[in-house]
Amino acid sequence: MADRDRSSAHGPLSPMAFHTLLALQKAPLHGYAIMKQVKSTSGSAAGPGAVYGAIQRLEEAGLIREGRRLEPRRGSRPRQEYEITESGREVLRAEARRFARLARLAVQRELLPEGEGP
Amino acid sequence: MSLLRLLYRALLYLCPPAFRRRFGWQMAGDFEEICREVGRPSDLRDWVPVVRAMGDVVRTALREWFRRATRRWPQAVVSMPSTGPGGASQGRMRGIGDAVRRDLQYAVRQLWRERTLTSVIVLTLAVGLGTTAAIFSVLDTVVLRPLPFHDPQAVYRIFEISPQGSDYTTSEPMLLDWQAMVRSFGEVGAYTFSSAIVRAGGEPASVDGGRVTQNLMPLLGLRPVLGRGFRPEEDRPNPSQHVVILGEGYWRRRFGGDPAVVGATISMSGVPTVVVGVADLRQIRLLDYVEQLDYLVPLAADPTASRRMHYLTALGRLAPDVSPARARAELNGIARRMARAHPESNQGWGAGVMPAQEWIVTDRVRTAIAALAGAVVVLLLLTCANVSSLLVAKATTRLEELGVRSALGASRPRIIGQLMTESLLFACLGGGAGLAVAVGLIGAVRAYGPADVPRLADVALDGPVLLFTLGAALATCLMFGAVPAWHGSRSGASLTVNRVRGSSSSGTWVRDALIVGELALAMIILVGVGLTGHSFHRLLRVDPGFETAGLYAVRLSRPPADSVVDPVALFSDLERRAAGVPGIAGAGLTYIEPFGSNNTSHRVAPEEWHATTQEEFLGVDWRAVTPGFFTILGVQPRKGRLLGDEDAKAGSDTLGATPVVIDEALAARLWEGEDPVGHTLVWSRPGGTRLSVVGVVEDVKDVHMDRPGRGTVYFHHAAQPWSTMTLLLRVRGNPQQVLAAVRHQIRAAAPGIPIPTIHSIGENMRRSVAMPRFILQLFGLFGTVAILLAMTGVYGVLAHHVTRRTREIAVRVAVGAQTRDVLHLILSQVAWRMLAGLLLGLGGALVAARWIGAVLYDIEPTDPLAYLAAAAVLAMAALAATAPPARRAATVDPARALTAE
Repeated sequence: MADRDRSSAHGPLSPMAFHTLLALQKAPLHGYAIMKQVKSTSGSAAGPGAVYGAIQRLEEAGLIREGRRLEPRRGSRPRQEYEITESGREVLRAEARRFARLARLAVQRELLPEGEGP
Repeated sequence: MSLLRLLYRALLYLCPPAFRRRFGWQMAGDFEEICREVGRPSDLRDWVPVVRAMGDVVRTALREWFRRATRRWPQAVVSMPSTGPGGASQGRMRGIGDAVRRDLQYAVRQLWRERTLTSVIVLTLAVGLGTTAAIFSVLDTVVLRPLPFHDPQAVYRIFEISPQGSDYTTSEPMLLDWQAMVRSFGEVGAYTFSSAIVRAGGEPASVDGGRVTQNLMPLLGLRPVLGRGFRPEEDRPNPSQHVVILGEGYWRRRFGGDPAVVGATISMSGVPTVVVGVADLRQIRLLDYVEQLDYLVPLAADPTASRRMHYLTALGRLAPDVSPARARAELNGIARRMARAHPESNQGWGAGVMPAQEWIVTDRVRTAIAALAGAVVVLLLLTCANVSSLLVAKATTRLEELGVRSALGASRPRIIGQLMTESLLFACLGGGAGLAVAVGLIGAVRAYGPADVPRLADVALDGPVLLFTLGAALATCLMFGAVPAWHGSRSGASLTVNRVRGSSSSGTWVRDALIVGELALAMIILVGVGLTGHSFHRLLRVDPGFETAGLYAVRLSRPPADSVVDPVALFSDLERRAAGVPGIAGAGLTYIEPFGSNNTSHRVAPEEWHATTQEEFLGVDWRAVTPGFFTILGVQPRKGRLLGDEDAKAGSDTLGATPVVIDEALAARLWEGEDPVGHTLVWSRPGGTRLSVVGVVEDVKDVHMDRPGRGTVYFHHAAQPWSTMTLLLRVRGNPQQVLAAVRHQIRAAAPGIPIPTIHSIGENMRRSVAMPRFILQLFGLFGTVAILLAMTGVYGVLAHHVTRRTREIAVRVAVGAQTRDVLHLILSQVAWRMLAGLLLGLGGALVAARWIGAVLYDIEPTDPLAYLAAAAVLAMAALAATAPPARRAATVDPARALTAE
């Protein structure tokens, strides 16, 4: 029930926000790595601007926060890591449940055969 | 690719500042990785990620601005209760959002309807703002930017002052004294030039570098990019291990940027030396106007060295709460103590301090900057004036429409909002296009600018400059967009169609003032172009006193390992061999390379002056040469004879003096109206070496084109042996083949000698005028833009004038006016404005030209040619701009014009 409340408070997440949270769910990442992850999970490329826009909104909503600042080393540049917060995790989970419900609904309405993967 | 990065960074400025500050650096970094992944694209499709990322920034900017705006609206609505219906803030927001969208759509349609005028305004903004932003960025990076040191204000140059009151660099023991005793400075460090023959794997090569105290890099706040700095124990005489820090550029060029070089041992002038670090030495290079600075080694100041040898540039970081005056007093106290301890060398010497910034960026350079910056500001003003006059012209045609809208019940805020939206749109379009122009221009300057203007490669679009120019665009558009907005809305319903159609004078005087101002500003810039152009023309025609075509210089150094070889014999042998190579028409040796940005000077006094103090000695230039030097340059004797091989021995004269030849400038300075041949000079100090003048030769310019020589003394090189010399060659035929043969000869004759570098003297000479040329190029750019802007301004105003008076002209033509009469009517409109503009500009230019005087060579800031040319060009341009509207007026068809309304 708590999941549902949170989910509705934030509304359905935008695809960009969802994939960003999904990317951060396992480990803190910097923007460029998030961009790569989003591309692999969503199947379409997102530019830096889209990623940081999503980061800003998710951060304002308290779903992610700034993590470590990686100082430049030889041959690399400084990077800012972001990590998912507890409420971010909950929202992500709630959103995933919503997708699962929708998927079940699709199966019930015989839109999809049972057990069909993505 | 670097242009793309620059463009991406420029695009980031479209985003709201807060967003850009937080994420801009991350986005720029990510973009670099995207570029790196793309690598060197072979196919057009490989560019997709890069192009997509560019589009992504623009989308992000729009989205973020929209988010910011919608976040603020609800509060704005609360304070303006009359707007929109009451209800949830959500509803209000939508109401305002709709209004903004409507205004925007309307504005876009309006701009499209008047697309000629729109494009003229946008182009004007683009060219004017783009040029301003680009040039200011260049100026900022090349000359204005404070020294790239940590807290540069606290860095001071410390120098000794001779008993005669001249500034001197310091000696090694004095530096150690300062380091040990001075309290006013946190640290005292020093620098001096050095050069070494580096052997690392391949062939030995002669490399220029610097000797620095171990604290100099930390003092300036510089850190190595790889490895470490020097340690105190390495900065002592006879260290257990010799160490070097390589310049980043040299490391990339010579060692391919291999990090494994750190820790490796290379041979420097025969001494095994460990590379301990790699650092960006461009900042250090500012301390010494050297072209190349490829390494640093510890200075290792020796307390037993001579106190008379002044060659260290000392720098100190002033301790907090210590005034320069107090530091000066303390240094002078030390100087007095040293004078007591070492009277033979330090008697009468004092010390002084000056900010490093003042010392490095000299007054001459600063004045040049002021002149250029002034021109840029004038250009910006011109752009704003131009856009203003166009906007005002445009607005007067809108009064009718605004009257109608007002009569139909549009509220004043709505009308103002509408006009403001249009102005904003102009500012955005013009600013955006200006950004593109600026980025393009900067790219062009970086790619095609003179290679030896310092820091030119570092030029990037400057954030504050960009914001300033965009702000200027916005202010201009809003201010002059506001004038008609105010008029239009104030008159409200009373503003009838009739009033507009009559000869409304509202805004006419503003327009007249603007056009006169524009012409005056353009005149100021064109006078600047004329002056710099004329000056540069004079500079190029300066005769150095010798033919530069086919003249090449080879830098020769004695082989490091072979210190027993007599350099005089070696160099003379190489000169002979080179002269024998087919295709070589002549060879000669000299100590410094002509126009190679080096000079050698010393002090002399004629013996008959009986000078007893050093004060009475005069500063002169000197050259160690071979007889071939005069032959190859074609320098003719005016009196007496040239140097010959019989002068090769110091003191070879019958009276035990060394034979020398002087130039006419020195002859005139020392023995005006007399024959100098047979006179004797005293070298360096009272009781110094005696030099007997055996001949006088023509003046030769070989250091600066733009400064008269102060006199030169020529020795035979054998009388003053040096371990490096420059071999001058006159090449007939294909220089590449001939020079390759010379190089081969040198290597065959002296295998241990470092690879000789060969320079073209003509190239050196062109480089010596690179800065004046660069200033002229910038002024040329300003001038072109100024003419274009002035033409647009005249055209815009006149075209508008013709449109407004079409009916009147039609009536005149209908009642029998000839084409000539119509043209007269129209051109008389421009004539007095043009005259007023030119006269005002003339006055302004006379005042402004004082600033430019410092960068001029051999002409006065009041050079009449420049003023006449500027006035003529501007008048012609203005007249050309009147042609299309005048033609339109002359071909008005009365029947159509009168029935049109």
